[in-house]
Parts: sequence; structure tokens; C-alpha cells
Amino acid sequence: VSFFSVTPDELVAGSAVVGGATAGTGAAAVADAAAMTPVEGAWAAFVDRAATASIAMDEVAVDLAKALANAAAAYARSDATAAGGLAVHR
Amino acid sequence: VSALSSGASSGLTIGGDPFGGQTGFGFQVPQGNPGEIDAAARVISEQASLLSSRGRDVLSGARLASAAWKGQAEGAFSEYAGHVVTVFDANAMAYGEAAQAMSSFARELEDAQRVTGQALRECETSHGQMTSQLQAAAEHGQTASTLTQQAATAFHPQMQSELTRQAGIAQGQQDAANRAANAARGQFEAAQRQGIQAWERYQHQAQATARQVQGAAERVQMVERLPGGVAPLLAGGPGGVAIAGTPAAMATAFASPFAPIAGGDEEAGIVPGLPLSTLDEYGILTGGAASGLSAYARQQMETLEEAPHLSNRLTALEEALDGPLAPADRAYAEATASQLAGELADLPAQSLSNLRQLANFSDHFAGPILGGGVDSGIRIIEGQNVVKSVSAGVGTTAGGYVGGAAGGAACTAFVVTAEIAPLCAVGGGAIGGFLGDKAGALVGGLIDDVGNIL
Repeated sequence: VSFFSVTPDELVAGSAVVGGATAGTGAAAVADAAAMTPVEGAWAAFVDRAATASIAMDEVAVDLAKALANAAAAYARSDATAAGGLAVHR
Repeated sequence: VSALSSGASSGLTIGGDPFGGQTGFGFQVPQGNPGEIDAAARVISEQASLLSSRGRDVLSGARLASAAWKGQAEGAFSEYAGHVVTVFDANAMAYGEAAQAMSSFARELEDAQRVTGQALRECETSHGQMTSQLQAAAEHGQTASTLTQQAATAFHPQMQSELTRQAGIAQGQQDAANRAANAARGQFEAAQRQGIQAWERYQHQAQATARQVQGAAERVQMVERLPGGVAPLLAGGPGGVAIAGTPAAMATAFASPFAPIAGGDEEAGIVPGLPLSTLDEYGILTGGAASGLSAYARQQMETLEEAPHLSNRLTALEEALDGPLAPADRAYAEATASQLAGELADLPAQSLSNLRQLANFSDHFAGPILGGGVDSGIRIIEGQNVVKSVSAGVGTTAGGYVGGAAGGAACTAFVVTAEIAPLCAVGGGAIGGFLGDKAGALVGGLIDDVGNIL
């Protein structure tokens, strides 16, 4: 049997905090900064990989926040159902 | 993210040189813009700090959400959040390493450009001096040679003496020019040595930096996405957004698991398995599962209220009591018959209660959740008047819904007699598992009650 004691509010709060992890930063071009140096290739590759990783991390933070919000919504819904007579483990 | 995107670079301080920094003195003046490199390093350093901060936010948020949350789904969620935090931290460190390497490289490049640039200027100057002095020395030597020859052929002694004196002066000038040329050569060689050393040192530093940056790139981790992704936010709760209903998908999903196990004694009204075995018969499976469940439950309530509830065993006992029995057997039969009669008397009320719960569940919970797209359904395996197993399709559905992958979810709750043991696999994602836990417990508890009574 699973037990649940978290409340929708707690999940929403968690979602909000996680959502803060997606704060963007100012734009700047950095990929070409090492042009005409021996580091040029390695730096461009790093920036490319870092950009890909950063995009994925931003999206995952959004996903986590959204998923927690979803869970909170489901909790609210199931709590309403429980109030209608169903026994809910908490 | 945009901070890391490619973009046009501004003009280089030393670059665009048609000779690519070649000097002709055995070394090069390094190309590149230290200012831009340092600025890029600062951007990446700021990204590293932001990643650390974001990682802490994810950790805090996950802890906040998990603090009072117990269950297998919470474990799955925490595990995934832990992976995300680990990636944030690892990447923050990798970004920091790259930023540090590039910051150092900017200073090294600047230093190399300064030293080689100075060496180039000194080489050019000393080389020019050396060339001019050698030229002067040659001219003075030629003059001295000419004067010496003229002196040798002069008739007048005074003239001869004067020419010899002038030849000596020219010879002295040649010697001075040669000494100056030698001095210039020394200066040139020193400057050239400085330039070559600075260039070679820079090359080593650049190669080391490239290796550091490459290593940092290899340490950048790609975060795994939530299995199946995340569906749009659910409506009606704190998260707010809409639920998409797909009745056709629900009907298909329900029909599949039910069909092979459908059964039950329809003539008896309500028996284990009957609720689901008769869903198809009543056309519920093709008419929308959630509303069908409600309609079915209400129909069964009516049936229960009207149908006589006979027990073959009770009938047999009563018939046996009418005949001859040993005293001990009669006492046992009477006690058993009394107990059965009492249980049967309570059955309608209890069953009605559970059917009402089923109807409520269908109306208030199953409908909205199942509306997201049912992957499988509730499965009842009947036997000995005990509900043996329930596969909580609701859990699967919720997992699939939230995870955005209805087919991939696998949150199943088994009911063995009175024990419910939800097994939430990863399929629909952590939150899917969470919903599966929740819905599985609801459905499991409900079906368990129905099973015990029926």
C-alpha cells in the first residue's frame, strides 16, 4: 500500500522552486571567441555541447515543474473525490 | 541558453593579417582576440554559477515536494530529480573548468601577443640597423680600398700621405659600421630568440588549453528527459490547464484487457467479475468508459435491489436440516445457516454502498483521469468469491497521461485477497507512478471492498 501525505500546495511550491531553475541569461556570442587560435575547434565544440546540454537542462527543469504541478492537480482532484466518499490512503 | 549560441564575432585586435601572423623571423604573432576570449570565459563562468544555482533550486524544489510524500512513486521521482541535480552540478563544474581555462588562455594570448609583437618590432629595427650598417661598412670598405689604391699610385708624397690618411679614416668608418652591424645583429638575435620562445610557449599553452576545454566538453552531461515527456498541465487543480478526452481510445483500451477474462454468473446478478465481464454486454465499452462505469454501477444497484439473493449452500443446509442429522451435525448446520443468512441479509446494503462508490469514482475520478487516454483497464480475476487481482489501469493511464506515453506506462496495483500492493514501474515516469499510486490505491481499495463483500 502506498501512503500519501503530501498536499497539492507542497507540490505546487516545489514546482515553483524547480521552475526557478529555468531563469534565462543575457545573450552573448561566445562560440567564435577563440577564432584564429589553436583553441578555436575545441572551444566551438565545447560551446556547441554546452548549448545542447543547457537547452536540455532548461527543458527538464520545466518538465519537472510541470510534472509536479500535474501531480498537484491530480491530488486536488483525487482529494475532491475522496471528500465524496472514497477512502484515500494518506 | 542563448548565451551559448553561436554568433558573429567582432573584429580581432590581431588577426585578419594577410600573413596570418607570420613574421619572417622564425616566429609568429598569435592571432585572436584576448578580450573576446575573456568575455566568453566570463559568460561561461556565469553560466556555471547559474547552473549551480539552478541545481540547488531543483534540489530544493524536489525536497519540498518529497518531504511529506511517501511511496514508490516518490522514490522514482526523487531518483529522477537526483539525476537532474547531478547533471546540473556536473555541468556547472565542467563549465567552470572551461571558463577558467579560457580565462587563463586569454591572458596567455595577450602576453604572447605583447611579447611577440615587441620582439617583432625589435627584430625589424635591429634588422634594419644591421642591414644599413653592413651596407655602410661595405661602402666605407670600398672607399678605403679605392683610396689605398690611389695612394699607392700617387707620385707626389704629400698627395700619397693625404690619400693614405683618408683611406685610414674610411677603414675606421668601415670598422665602426661593422661593429654597429654586429651590435644590431646581437639585438636582432636576442629579439628573435624572444619571439620564438614566446611563440613556442604560446603554442604549448594553447594546446594545453585546447585539451582542457576538450576535457570539459567531454564532462558535460546530457540530462535524461522524463520518460515519455510531460503532458500539458492537468485542469482543475493548482496546476491549471486542460485534459484531452479520447473516448475511442478509452473504449479500445478497456476492451482489450477485459475480453479474455470476462466471466461471471450473470443470472446471479452481482458476482465477482460481473462488473467488468458485463461491461461489453451492456455496450459500455464502446460508449465511453467513464460514463459507462457510472451507468453500469447504477444499473447494478437497481438489479441488486430487485434480485433475490439465494445461496446454494444455504439452500442445501436448509434442506439438510429438514432431514435426519446427527446432533453434532445439526448443530453445525444450524450455526452455519444462521451465519450465512445474516451475511446474505447484509449483502444488499454493503454492495449498494460499494456500487455507489464505483459510480462516484467513475463520475469524479476515473472520468477526468481516464479521459487522458486509457492504456489498460481494471482487470478482475475471479475465483472462490474473492477478487484475486486487480490491474489498476487507472494508474497506468495516469502514468501514461502525465508521462505523455499511454503505451509505455506500467503502474499496476495487485489485489490479493485484502492486500493491495501497488507496483509502480517507471513506464509512465515518476509522476505517472505517483498518480498510479494514488489512483491504484483508490481503485484497489474500492475493488477490494467490493470483492470482499461479493
